Amino acid sequence: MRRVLLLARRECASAFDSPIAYVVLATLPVLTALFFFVLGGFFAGGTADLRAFFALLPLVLILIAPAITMRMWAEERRSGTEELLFSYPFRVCELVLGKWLGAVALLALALLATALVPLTVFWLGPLDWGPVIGGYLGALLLGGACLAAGLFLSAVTANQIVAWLLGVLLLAALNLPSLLLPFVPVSSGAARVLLAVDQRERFQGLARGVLAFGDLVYFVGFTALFLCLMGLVLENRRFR
Amino acid sequence: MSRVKIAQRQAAWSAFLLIGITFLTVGLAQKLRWRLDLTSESLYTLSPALVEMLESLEDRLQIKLYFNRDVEGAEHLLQQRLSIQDRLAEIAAIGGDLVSIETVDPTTDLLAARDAEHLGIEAVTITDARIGGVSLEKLYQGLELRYLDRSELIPFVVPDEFEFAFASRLAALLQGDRRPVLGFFSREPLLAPPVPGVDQMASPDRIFEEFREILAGRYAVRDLSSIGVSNPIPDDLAAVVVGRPERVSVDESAALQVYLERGGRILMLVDHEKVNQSMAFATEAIDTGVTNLLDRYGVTVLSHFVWDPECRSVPVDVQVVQGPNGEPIRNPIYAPYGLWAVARGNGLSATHVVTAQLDEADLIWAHPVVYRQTDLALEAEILLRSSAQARALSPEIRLDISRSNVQLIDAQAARQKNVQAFDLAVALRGSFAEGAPEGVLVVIGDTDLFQNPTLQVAASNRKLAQNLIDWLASDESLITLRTRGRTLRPLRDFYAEAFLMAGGVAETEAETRERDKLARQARDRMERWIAWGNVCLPPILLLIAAVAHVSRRRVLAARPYQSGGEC
Repeated sequence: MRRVLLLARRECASAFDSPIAYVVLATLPVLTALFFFVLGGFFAGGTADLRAFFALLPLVLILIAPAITMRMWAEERRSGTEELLFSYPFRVCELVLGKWLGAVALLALALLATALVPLTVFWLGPLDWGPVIGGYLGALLLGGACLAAGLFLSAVTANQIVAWLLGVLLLAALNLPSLLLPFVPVSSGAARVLLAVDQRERFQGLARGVLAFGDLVYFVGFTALFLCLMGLVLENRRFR
Repeated sequence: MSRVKIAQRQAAWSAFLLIGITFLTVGLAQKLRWRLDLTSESLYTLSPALVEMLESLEDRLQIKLYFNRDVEGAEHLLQQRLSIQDRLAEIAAIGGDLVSIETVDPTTDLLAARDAEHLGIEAVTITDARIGGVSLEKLYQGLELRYLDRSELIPFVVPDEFEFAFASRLAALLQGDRRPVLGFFSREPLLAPPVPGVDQMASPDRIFEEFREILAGRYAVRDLSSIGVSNPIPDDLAAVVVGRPERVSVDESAALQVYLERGGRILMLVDHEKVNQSMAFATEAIDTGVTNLLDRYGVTVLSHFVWDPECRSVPVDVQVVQGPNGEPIRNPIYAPYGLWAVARGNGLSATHVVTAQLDEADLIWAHPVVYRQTDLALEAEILLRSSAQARALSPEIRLDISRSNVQLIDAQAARQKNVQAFDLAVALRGSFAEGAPEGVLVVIGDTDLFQNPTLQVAASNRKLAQNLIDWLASDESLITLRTRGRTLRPLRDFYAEAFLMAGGVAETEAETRERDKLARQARDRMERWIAWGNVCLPPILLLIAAVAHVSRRRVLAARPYQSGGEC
């Protein structure tokens, strides 16, 4: 575990050597605050409620999560440092977990940067903290799942832009069905399947303040699946 | 086959296996219903009664929401609608595959609009007077439930009462034709026999028609026109309501007594007078005919009126003032009317399920109810009580609501030496005859509290009426649901703060308008500051952090290398 944390710290710290970390850390609070306070009609609603704020997070994460992970493996591969990394006394699972935890730490910092919004709403009215806790926990779980998918795509491509694009497409496919279903004619069976895999729909449950076992297992399972797939890809490449 | 190919094939198989295991685990986890509600009021924890009903579904329950997507000018309602949809999501989560929810927008979908009209879901018109004049917006907020070949409707869903409204409709759907039957015994004229295709109009003398309609949501209400020893009250009734007993004969009284002694449940609303509001509040004395029956169980309903300083204000006069264009404007003048008491706080029994969660109850020309213990040793509980500052006034007092008479009534009350809290409703429980099964008798010294005009305006009295009947019919599961509310979470009102700081309402209209304008500007300015502060502050702080980080790196890079030292 010590080696995993070491790798995670190195990943997180190295992100600040490039503008990416700063862009990510600034984009999340700016976009959410802009849509929530300026464009979203928060004051017209007149209620101390953060549901609209958390409703934006999955959509913002579609853009941000692949941006955090796009360079993590693709850049190593392009610059040739991947072989060097493989030569260190790290197991593949340690590399996978280290990279992922580093990305999650960066995302957690970005989420922390949005804390001004709930604090402001708390100042404005009697805020119920239960849904806020649920929302942030959900954002971490959703973000963790998105980062795992992004890391996997970064591991299978050598180009950062391709990794980002693939990540955005995959996350859009997993987050938008519930938004698009009312406008797209599909059979009820297909609609049920699409809603079952919809990340946004499950995140909304957590952001409401309800921790459902099914939703937690979904996010953990989704994250574990992509981390394992990434491990398989790297394992395969390591011994090629 | 090369080692690379073998490894690739193994990796592919492992990937498929992993995907399969994940899907299986996630799928199985959906079957477990463990949920933790973090909201401070457990908003999304459905009541055990509703969960039990959802778990007992044997066929698909279809829920169709008639909600319009956009409501311009009524954004404040969107939160309420979201809360309804949230709770429906919880219902769907518990109901699983047996619950389906469909949302239609009658403002954009013609078919949905026709369905809504056919079902009786009407749009509420909202006036939006904010942007460039006044516009009218239609708001649909109806819900239809379908189960087997039956359907129930909530024409307009009120968020605070959603769970109760939904649960009671669902209970009615599940019960089907097996609804509990309530008997209604009163001297009201009977309804004419139904004629197909003709709407049945109830006579204005049917003073409990609204009460019956409320009960009809959960029960089949049967009028008991003739009862007696030879025509006893049927045993299949869940409870009997005796509404304003009048000239009750010995035979009828005996039938009520026999019913109680067989373990029956009775709600008795007693008054000693009829008040004709359209005839200057003229009163006509009533011989109830139930005095002996009640006395047998230790209950006496006095003929005095209860005057209570905890009461409603009523319009006692009209002041005519000149409008800006010289037209007369009639402003009503309100004054407290002590004979329309309001029971709240200690006036509502905190230990009884019927009243524990109620905020208040309106009592209109109520009479004190006195209970004394009898040999039957019934268990008695006072449900409603006046405030401790109440007085009993003579039954001869004039009741009309005019400024002079209200002053007269207050003067009479002030002369009363006996100031005390009067009991206004009592619930008796136990065996009403030796060795008889347990029965229940609730006596309220007021009938107006459940008459049409009161129930049309007093939501709390509607809840009280429903609670009483549910309790009598031994269906307490929905009582706690009915009174479950939701805390409002309003934002700070910057306009009100600024208006107050500017001095509030001024002596002249022009000055008030100026203060109003300044307060609006101050509110808009404050909201802009908050919004843009939230947008700009994080990147500014980040920029500072980035500059600090880069400067530190430069300083570190500029340091000469020292062997064995810090780099």
